[in-house]
Amino acid sequence: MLEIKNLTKKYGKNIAVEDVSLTVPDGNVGILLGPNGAGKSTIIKSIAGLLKFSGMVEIQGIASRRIEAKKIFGYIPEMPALFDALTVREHLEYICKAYDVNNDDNYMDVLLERFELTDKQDKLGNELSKGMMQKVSICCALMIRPKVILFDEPMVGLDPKAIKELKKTIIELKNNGVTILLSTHMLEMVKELWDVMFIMNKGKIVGKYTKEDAKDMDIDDIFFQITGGETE
Amino acid sequence: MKGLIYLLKTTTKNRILKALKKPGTFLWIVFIIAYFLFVIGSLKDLIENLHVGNPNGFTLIVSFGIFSLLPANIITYAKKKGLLFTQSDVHFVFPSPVKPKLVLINAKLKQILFAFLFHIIIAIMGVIYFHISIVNIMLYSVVAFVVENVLETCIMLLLYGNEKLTEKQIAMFCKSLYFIIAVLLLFGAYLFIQYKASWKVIELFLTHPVIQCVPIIGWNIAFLRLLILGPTTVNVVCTILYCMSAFLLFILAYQMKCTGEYYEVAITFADDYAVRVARKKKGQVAFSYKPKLIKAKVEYKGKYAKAIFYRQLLEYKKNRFFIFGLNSLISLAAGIAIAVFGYFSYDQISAFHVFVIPGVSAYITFIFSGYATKWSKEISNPYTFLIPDSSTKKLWYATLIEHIRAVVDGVLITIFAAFTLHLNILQVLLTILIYVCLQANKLYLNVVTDAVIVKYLGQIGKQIFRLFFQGTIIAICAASAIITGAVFGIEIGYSIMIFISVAITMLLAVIASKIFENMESFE
Repeated sequence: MLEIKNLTKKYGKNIAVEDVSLTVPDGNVGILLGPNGAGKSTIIKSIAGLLKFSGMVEIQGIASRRIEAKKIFGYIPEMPALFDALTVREHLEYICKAYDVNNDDNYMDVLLERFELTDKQDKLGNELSKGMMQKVSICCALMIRPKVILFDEPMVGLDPKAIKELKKTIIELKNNGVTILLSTHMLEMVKELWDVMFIMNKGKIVGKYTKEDAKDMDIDDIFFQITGGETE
Repeated sequence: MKGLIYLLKTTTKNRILKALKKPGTFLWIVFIIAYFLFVIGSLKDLIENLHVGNPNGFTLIVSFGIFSLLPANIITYAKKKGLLFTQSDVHFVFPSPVKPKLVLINAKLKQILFAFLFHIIIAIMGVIYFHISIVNIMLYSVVAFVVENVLETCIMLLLYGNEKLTEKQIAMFCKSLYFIIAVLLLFGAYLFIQYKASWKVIELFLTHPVIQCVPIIGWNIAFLRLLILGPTTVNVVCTILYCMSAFLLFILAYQMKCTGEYYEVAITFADDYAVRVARKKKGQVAFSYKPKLIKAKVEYKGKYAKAIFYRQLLEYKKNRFFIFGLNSLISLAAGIAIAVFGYFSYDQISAFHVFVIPGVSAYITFIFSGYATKWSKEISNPYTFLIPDSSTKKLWYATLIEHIRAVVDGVLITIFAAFTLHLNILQVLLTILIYVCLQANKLYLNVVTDAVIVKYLGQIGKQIFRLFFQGTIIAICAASAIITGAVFGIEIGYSIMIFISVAITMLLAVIASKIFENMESFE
């Protein structure tokens, strides 16, 4: 479970995120929607422990900054930044060491195969395209076998096949009881994935819907209704 | 921790293997070794001339290093700077289950390894040039390396990783350190006045008991003096204090709570560093200075390629110093320096007075060939190539403002010096024209090298080629001036120099405009 209570993040005098509280239960996919500058990435980075903030973030009931929480937490940032001098496979080996996970069941090869990276596994980080880097980033986060996973715009740069594979992976993770929080602009891509939706605007959560609340309403309609935009 | 060790081992191994595949690496290794041997070799003469080739001289030089570097390092850590973090660290290391203090120590490790190499070099030099016994230097190198690095790492952890001190308190800490350094320098000034101006004052300053009693910095000097020169009351007491402070700071750093709040600052550093690396890869000077912009407007009095000029003008109007930049400052400083030189030495150079400013201008152009302008950003912008206009016009309007800047900088370098060098109006105008031509040569040469040379010689090769070619242009102009000057007189030689400079500029402009036709050349 991912739980955020009263999260506020300021940059100097500017408030980027104000008093945000949200919960994503085990085995649920939460989606974080909002226009540019709404504060989605700030929330994701705060949960990942990359930013200073006031409030509380808990992963499976453990404060997010604690080592125990980090061990069960995966993070896919919007812009992947691979190590120049590590190959694709070495990135995954690094994750195994850093998170103390074993690869006895050859999960590493399964992931490489699944995201079509087997033939790229000996390529260095700086030899890959943006889409390839994103795939490596996803594989690294999955290698942890996390209980809670954050995706920040994961579909940007991915080819259609990889998007399809990622969606399949998210559903599998959900079925295995993993908590997922996904921030995106691509409403179409997450239509069939979500269980709980948080709509942000100007640093605040302005709408929260569960799949049951939404019933037959289209995700686009809900989003534009709340944020004041227009559907096409 | 296992992850960080794996990361260090694997990245080091891969980097070495990758470097060994490039033949250029061996050339660099030979060059670096030769350079160090040259520097170390030339130090021998310097040490002998200064009569410091003894253990006392060794302590003086190392003390000077401590006094210059240690306070600067402490201030850097207090400002949460001085450690290298990359965007890959932000992605993979910061969110991983590793203690944030270990992440800091890992970042510091590169500096510790460098310090290790430095201690080895110092130890070798200590034995060869300063005649210190091997036992003494070994004892100093090992003990000093351990204590200094433990102490500095603890200070780094306590300052960089601190989550209790507010920004105000950190600023106060830095100000206090600046104050202490200022007081020490005032003390140095007092000694300077008291004991006559000589380099002996530095010795007096660095060996003075007052200096050795300054916490951390002075205690470090006392510790050095004890190990190399033997005990005195002051250095024994201060060494005890130094070792105790290292131990105490170790305990404090170990016990300090650090949850990784510094990651936020480190992310900003990593982003800035990525920009600097990208600029360096393009062969530009890696400044991290971000100018504050002001509001401005511009009226577009033209279309197509002219729009590039007006857009650049708008950007410069938003700049607080308008079109004046680092080059302007350098030109002004050089102009004043030439003016002073001309005032005192005109009689000695009167026959060649017209060549002084062009000579200095050529030198400045030659040295600052990597200085980036708005123009250099223009060629990496796809919109420049999409504008429906001829490549010649686009090249002209994309570089026009740089020519205007060159005129302004040319005026700055010429105007004051013209009085003391007794230049007439025509000579002043021609001198400015030479400066503009030199800058234009550089500008168009950069277009050609960015498009063609970089593909074959890489970034470093490109820079060397630029320097070589720019040097050749300057040499051609100078040689033609000297030869025609000797045969037909100074005035004719001067005119020939301008003519050749303008001709080369025009030729480079034509070549550059051809290359400027599509972006492919610059990818």
